[in-house]
Amino acid sequence: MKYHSFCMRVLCLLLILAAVVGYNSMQKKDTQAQEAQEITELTKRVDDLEEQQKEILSALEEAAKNQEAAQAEAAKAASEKAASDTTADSEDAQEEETDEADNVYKDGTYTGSAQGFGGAITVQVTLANDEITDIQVTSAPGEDSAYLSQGEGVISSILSAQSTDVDTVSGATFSSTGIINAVVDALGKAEN
Amino acid sequence: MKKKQRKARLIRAAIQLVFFIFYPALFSTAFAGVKSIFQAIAAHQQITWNSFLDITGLLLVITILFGRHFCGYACAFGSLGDAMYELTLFIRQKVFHKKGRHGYPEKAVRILQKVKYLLLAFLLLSILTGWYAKLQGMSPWDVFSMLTAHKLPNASYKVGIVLLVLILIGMCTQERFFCQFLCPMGAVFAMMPILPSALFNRNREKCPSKCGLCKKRCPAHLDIDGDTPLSGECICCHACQVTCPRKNIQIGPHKEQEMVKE
Repeated sequence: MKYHSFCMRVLCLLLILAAVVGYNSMQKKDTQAQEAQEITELTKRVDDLEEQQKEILSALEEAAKNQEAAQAEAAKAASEKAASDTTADSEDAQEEETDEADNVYKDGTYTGSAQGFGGAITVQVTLANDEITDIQVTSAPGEDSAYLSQGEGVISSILSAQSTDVDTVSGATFSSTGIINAVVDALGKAEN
Repeated sequence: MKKKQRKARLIRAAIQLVFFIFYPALFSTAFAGVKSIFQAIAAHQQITWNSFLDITGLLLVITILFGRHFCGYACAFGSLGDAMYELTLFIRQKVFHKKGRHGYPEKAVRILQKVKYLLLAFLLLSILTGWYAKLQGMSPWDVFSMLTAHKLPNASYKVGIVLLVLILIGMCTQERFFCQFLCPMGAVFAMMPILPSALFNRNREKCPSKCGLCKKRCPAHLDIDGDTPLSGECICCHACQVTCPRKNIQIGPHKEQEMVKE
């Protein structure tokens, strides 16, 4: 054949691409199955908790018919407890509401900087009610653009964890470490 | 003829210098893209497109369409190799009055060219098994990219520094030492299906018997013959083309070009 080597290489490349696509679709199925399982587990837990709540409520109603004021309070506490068990988010929200008076950080936008790979990385951190709502890299002159945008993946982990104690991005260790340290620097300035 | 060769070499050196100054990290970014695929598999995650793969994809597409011109003209590490080798040539000529381009014999080159595939396989396997984290500080590329970013590597990069020095010494002994024998990204490029229209071809009929200047001049000691099992090793340095006294070497199949001329 005329272009024997070329054809063999095309074949190899197609096989590799097919393997990658196959792997991805398998992984997708796996995660979907996992998610479906988690959802059924969670709904089951919610159902159980709702039943418990009902039981507690009816028990309280029967036991304290005469003490109406006390009963109302007890029911409220029970429902709050059940609600806080079902989802972590509502717990957070409640905590924030109660802690509003003594925030750790001042609200506002703060800049911080730290050493990245080839120079300083400067970030802008926006805080509201002790929550990090936004992180922007404002300047990183020494960073290679591909590494920087890869390292910026650490921002979403910081935002979702609401903490700077997160893993660095593999392959862009220096850039992501620089971003983390810059956020730490900014948070230090925002402390009450 | 000599003038033409010198001109081609100067143009190439100028392009290499520009890329060395402005894009010194392209080769390691491209390999970071390859690594990211295997890191995703090792973590049992989906492979997602990322900014490293932008560079990897771009360079692979360019290589498939136009040959390994990135290796020959744009890769900072390849340019470093050329600089080291040319410097050694210069010293050899001026100090020891030795003529000609030194290098390893063809047989040794052929065997050593396989080493880069082993290295690539080793690196990718170590990523899959999670072993790669232990290799931190051993990469000579990391040390090189630190130096190009004007940053001194610290003591944890001891092994990487030693390896980089060894590679620099190797670069002096053979043209394109690292690219041919060790570069894991070069192994990926060499496996790409480069279009036959982008490969160097020789009009054999016009060649005098027992000339072989092109093969001698080629840093990889290749038979310039279009699509061969070894054609992936060509880094498109164009040395064969400017060396050929009869201008018998061109990119793309020869017969078609002649038909166009007629």
